[in-house]
Amino acid sequence: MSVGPIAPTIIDTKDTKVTKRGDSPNKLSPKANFVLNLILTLAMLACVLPLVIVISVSLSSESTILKEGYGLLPKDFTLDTYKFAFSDPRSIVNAYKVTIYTTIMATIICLVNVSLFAYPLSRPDFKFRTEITFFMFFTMLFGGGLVAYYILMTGFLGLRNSLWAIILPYSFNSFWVIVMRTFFRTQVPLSLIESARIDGAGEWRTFTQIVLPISLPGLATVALFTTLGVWNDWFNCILFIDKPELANLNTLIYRALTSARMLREIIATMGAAGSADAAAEIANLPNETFRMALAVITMGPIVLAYPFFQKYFIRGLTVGSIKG
Amino acid sequence: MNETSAIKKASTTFYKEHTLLTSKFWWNVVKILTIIAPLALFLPFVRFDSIAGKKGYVISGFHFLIGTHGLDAKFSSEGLNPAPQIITTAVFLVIGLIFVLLIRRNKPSFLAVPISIVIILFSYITASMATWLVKSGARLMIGVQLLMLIEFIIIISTILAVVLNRVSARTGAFKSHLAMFSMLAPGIIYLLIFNYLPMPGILLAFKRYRVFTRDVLENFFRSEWVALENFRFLFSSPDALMITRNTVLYNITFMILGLIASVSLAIIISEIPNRRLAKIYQTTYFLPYFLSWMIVAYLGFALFNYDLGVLNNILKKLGMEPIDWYMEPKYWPFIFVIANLWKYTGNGSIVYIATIAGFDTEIYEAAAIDGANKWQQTMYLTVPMLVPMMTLLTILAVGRMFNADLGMFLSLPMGSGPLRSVSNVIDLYVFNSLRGGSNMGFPAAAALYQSIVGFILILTTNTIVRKINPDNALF
Repeated sequence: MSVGPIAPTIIDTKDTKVTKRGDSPNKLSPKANFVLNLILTLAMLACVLPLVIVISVSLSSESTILKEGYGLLPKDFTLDTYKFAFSDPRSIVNAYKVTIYTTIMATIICLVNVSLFAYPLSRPDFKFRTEITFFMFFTMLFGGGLVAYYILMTGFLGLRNSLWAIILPYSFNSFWVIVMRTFFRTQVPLSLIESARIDGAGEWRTFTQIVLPISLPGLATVALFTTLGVWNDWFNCILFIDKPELANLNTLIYRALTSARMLREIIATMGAAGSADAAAEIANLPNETFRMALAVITMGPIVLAYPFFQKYFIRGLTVGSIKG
Repeated sequence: MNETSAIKKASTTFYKEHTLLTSKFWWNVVKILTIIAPLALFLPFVRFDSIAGKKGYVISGFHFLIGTHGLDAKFSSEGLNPAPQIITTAVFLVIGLIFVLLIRRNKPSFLAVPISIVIILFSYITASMATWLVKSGARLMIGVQLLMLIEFIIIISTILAVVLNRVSARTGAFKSHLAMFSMLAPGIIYLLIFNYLPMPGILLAFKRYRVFTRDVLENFFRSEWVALENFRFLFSSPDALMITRNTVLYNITFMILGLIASVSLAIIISEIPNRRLAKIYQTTYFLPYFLSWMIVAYLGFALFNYDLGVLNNILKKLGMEPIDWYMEPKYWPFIFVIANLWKYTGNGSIVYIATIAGFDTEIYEAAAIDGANKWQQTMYLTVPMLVPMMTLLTILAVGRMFNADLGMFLSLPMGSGPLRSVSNVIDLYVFNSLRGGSNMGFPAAAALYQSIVGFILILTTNTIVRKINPDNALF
C-alpha cells in the first residue's frame, strides 16, 4: 500500500474557463437560464432564511414574540436584548476569551507543526518520503477509537479541565499536511531551494527564509480552516471540560439550548442578581430573544468574516481533494 | 592510479575513520543486542524487601516464566499477576531473535521494519510491566533496567542503521536529512502520542475497564479480560441493531443524495452565464458549512419550537393543527437528511465546480457543432468527466460509513427522549456512554466494531475501484 504521487496541478478557481463558455455560441436558452436561476435563488433563500429568523427574533421585543411567535422580520424592533446581554456580559465574555485564546494557540501550533511536517515530504531528495507519508497516512485510516482517545486525554495526559484539551487535538492534522505538501511541491520551485543551498543556506534557513515567505497563501488556508475548526469546537470542550468558566462559545450555547436551567443561570449572572426584586426581574427576563441573541453573538464573527476569506477555504477544499 | 580506485580508497579511509557513521556498525549493534537481550531474563528482576514472611526476596524473569516465583497467593489476592506480561516480553524477545537470525546480509534489509515494530511493542510492555511491579511494592533490579536500556539502544540503532543505509554519510545528504528529521520531529511525536499510543486501546473492547488508580496503564492491565462479553452484551441489546441501522442508513442516504445534490448544483452554477451571480450563489451556499451544529440547532429550534416556531406559525395560519416536532420521531429522518444537505451541499459542490472549470471548453464546442444540446452535453460529457472525482470522494465517504456526524445527532434533536429511536447513532451512543462513564469496555466494543468495519470498508472499496480503474483508486 503505497501513496501515489500527487497530480501536479492546483485548480485555480479564481478565473475559470466557464466565463469563456458563456461567451461561446453554445449558450443557455433564456428560458432555461430563468429556471436555473430560480432554482438557485430558492436554494439561496433556504440557506439564508433560518439565519434571518434567528437574527430577527434576537432584535424583537420579548413580549411580542411570546404573543405572536417567531417570524421572518423583527417584531417591535428593539435592541433591548443586546443591551441586556452586554450590560454585564460575564459568561459571554468569558466564553469569548476561552474561544479566542484556544483558537489562536491551536492555529499557531498547528501551522508550525503542519508546515514543518509537510516540507520534508514535499522534497524529492528526502529519501524517507514514502515511509513517513505512510506513517502518517495510516493514522487517517485506522485509530484506537474514541474510548482510547478519552483515556489518553484524561488519564494519560491529564487534560481534564485544561484548555489544552481543546488546543492539542487541533495542533496537527494529517489532511492539511497533504494539502501543504502539494502546495510546497507545486508552488515552490526546486531550483529556488537548490540555489539557496549553493549560496550556503542550511535546510532550516532555506525553509524559514525562502520557502515560508512564498507559501503564505497555503499557510493562510491551513490557518483559516484550523481557526474555523477550533472556533466551532464543542466536542472536546463538552467531553473534557466541566468547569463552566472554561466553556467555549459553542459549549455555552449547547448547554443553554439543552437545559433551560443553564440559560437562566447565564441570564442570572447578568445584572439581575443585585437588584431588590430579583424574582420579579427574572420573570421579565428576555428568555426567548436572549436565546437567539446568544446564537447571533456566537456565529457573528464567522458569518461576517467568511466572505473575505472564502477563496482560501475554496483553495483548501480543491487542493485537498487531489489524489494523495 | 585511475579515478575509480581513488574514490574507493578515499571511501575506505573515510569509513575506517568514521565507523560511527556507517550503517553496518549500527546494524551490528542491533544484531548483537537482540541476541543478548533474552539473557537479561535470567538476571534478577525485582526485589521485595519483605514479602510472605521472607526478607529480601529476589526473583528473576525466568522464575516468572516457569511459574516458580512462589507468590501466587499475593498476586491473585491483589489481582495483579505480572506473569502474562513477562511471558509476552519473552515471546517478543524470541521473535526478535528469530528475525535477527534470519538476516544474512550486513545491511539493514526489509526486516528492519518488523524488528523495530517488535522492539517498540516489546518496550511498551516492558515499561508497563516495570511500572506495575513497582506498584506492587517491588524494587526494580538490574534485569529490568538492562532490558529497558537495551531496547532503547536497539530502537536508536535501528533508526540510525536504516537512515545511514539510505543516506550516505559522505555527501552532505546526511546532514540535510538530519535537518529534515528535526523538522519532522514535532509531527512524529504528535502522531505517536495522539494516534499510535491509543491504538492498543482497542484491546479495551475485550476488557472490563475499571479505574483503580490514576495510572492508566495500570488500570488497563489490572482490568480483567472478559473476552467477547462486551460484544455479546452489545449485540444482544436491541440498541446495537438500532444504532447500526441508523448510522448506516443515514450515511447511505447522505452519501447518495449529497452526491446528486452537489454534482447537480455544481453543474448548474457552472452553466449560469452571469458569472457574478454565480459567485454570489456559491458564496451563499458555502455559508452553512461555517456554522457549527450547535448554531444549526438554534436555527432548527427557531423552526420547530412548538409554541413559537416558524413552522407551527405557518401551520396555524393555514388553519392546521400545530405539530410537536420534538416529540414525533416520524419527521426526523427527513429533518436529518435535509439538515445534512443544507449544511454540506454548498461545500461539496465546490470541488466539482473547480473540476468543471478545469475542463477543456473546446470539447463542448465540438459537441455543440455535432448537434448535442445542453442536456446531452451535461449527461454525456460533464458527468462522465466528473466520475473520477466522484469515485474518490465516494470511497472516502464509504470508509466513513460507520462514523456518524455526531454534532448533528447530538444537538439537532435537543436531547429529546422520544426521538432517540431515530437519532441514536454509534458515535452518539459511544459519546453518551463515555459521559455516563461507568464501564468503558462497552463503548470501547462499539468503537472497535466501528473502527474495524470502517477500515475493512475503505480497503474493500478501494480494492474494488482499483480493479475497475486503477486511476480512480485512493491508494
